[in-house]
Amino acid sequence: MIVWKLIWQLLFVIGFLSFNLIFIFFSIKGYRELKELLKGNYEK
Amino acid sequence: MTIFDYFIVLTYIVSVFYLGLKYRDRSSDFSNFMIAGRKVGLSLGVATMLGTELGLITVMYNAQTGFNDFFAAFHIGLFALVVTMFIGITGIVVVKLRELRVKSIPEYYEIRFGKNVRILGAILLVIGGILNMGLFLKVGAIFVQGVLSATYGISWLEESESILAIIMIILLVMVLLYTILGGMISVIITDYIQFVVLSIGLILSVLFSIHNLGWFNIFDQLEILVSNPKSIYDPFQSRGGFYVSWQLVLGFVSAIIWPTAITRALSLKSPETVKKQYLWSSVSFLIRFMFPCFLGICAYIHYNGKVIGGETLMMMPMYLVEILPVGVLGVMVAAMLAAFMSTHDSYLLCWSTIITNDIIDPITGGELSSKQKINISRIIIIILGLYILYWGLVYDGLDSIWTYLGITGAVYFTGAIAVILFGLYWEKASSVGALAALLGGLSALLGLEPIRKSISMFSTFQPEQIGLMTLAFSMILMIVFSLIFPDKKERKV
Repeated sequence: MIVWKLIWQLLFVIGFLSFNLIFIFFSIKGYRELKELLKGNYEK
Repeated sequence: MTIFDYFIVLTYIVSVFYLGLKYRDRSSDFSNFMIAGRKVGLSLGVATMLGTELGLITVMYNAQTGFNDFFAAFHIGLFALVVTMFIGITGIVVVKLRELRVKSIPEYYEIRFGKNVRILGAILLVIGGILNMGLFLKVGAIFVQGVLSATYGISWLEESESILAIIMIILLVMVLLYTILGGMISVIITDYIQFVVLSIGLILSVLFSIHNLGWFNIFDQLEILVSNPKSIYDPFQSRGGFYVSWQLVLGFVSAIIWPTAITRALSLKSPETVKKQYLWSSVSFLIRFMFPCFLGICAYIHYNGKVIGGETLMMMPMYLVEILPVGVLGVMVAAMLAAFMSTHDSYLLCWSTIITNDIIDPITGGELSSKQKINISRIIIIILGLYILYWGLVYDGLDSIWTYLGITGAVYFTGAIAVILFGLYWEKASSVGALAALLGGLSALLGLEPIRKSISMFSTFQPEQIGLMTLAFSMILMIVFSLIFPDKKERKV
């Protein structure tokens, strides 16, 4: 039981931290790409 | 919910509608309407992939899974992480499909196995897909009902069927208007906004939950409340080996061949971008299971394991109303409603364009113009909308939503995974084998609770056992029929 408990705790903490980083990075870069996509689509 | 929260929700919904409508007239080409003209880059791909995959439905059923199975349910997220990472590293299936420049999986069926397989594959995909999304509207309405019940403390609201039906109709009208007027570009806009707002909402909800209950106290309390503490953490103790194996299969297919995910992959700029997108999205695939599961566990502790109103689905939204402060609750509810819209528009668009592109167009000789295809897709969106309203009102199966989704999805994916894997990686795979494998997938219908219970032979089986048997059955059919009935001429793919 203790092994499973540790696995899930570790997974949760690592998942939480890495998701925060991924979220910040891709939301900023994604916004730039979305603007480009809309601009290109409009010009077409 | 305070007036300020309602204001946030209203402003948010109006803004999303405004943006969707602003860009509607740009979807004049069917390729744009379906896959955004294959112009989506890596970052937007990662963001919108999570936007589609992390819907209100996902949050609700995973919270329900967490409420029922506790931390043991985290294995579903772990499998999703590992499998998606594996796809990102190897590029298995998805890169080959992107290289072929197909718009959908049935298009691949035609290139590899001919038109008949394409049409049958598309029909089965649509049967499985629309059965699968049949309960989405109802689950979304239960969320709204849960929020209103917790806000006003009106006990009759929790169980009232007519209130639920009214909420379903309001939500449906909202979604249909948005999807019909938009297309894939609009879907990408809402998916992006949803990715941002729902991510913030989920992160805050998790942080507030930990702050309220205490990190170590969550584990201690759970071990007191649950009679068999081993089942809290050990998935094999909790649900058994068949269930765990089934989750691995579900993790694989939901990332690799589930149409809403693969449509996003096919709209990316290049095959290399597809691999990168899967690699980065693996964390998102973990989070979409783990965060809501965690909130479900917190709801269980908050209510001391009691189920209010007889509906486990309602516990997470009620819990959020009680713990989140003013403003944050508004953002979370707005994000959940946007998530509801985003999932619906993605799914409605996905199924309607597949019906148009892979069933109606080939049957009518492939001469439909882009404009005709878009108009047909819009009519189908309305029909599908009416169906999900009807199905949500009449279906009364007792399985959890996650189990329901797995087994209805299996109608399509058990056959499809056999056809695609063998089609891409086994030269002897034949069109007769493909037809047999696709039809074999229909046996997953036996796993649906009302059907399963009505046939004595299957009444003792669990849905996951029937799902695994169907998968094995489809694989065997593909191999045996391909060997007995090989294709007469060699195909290029």
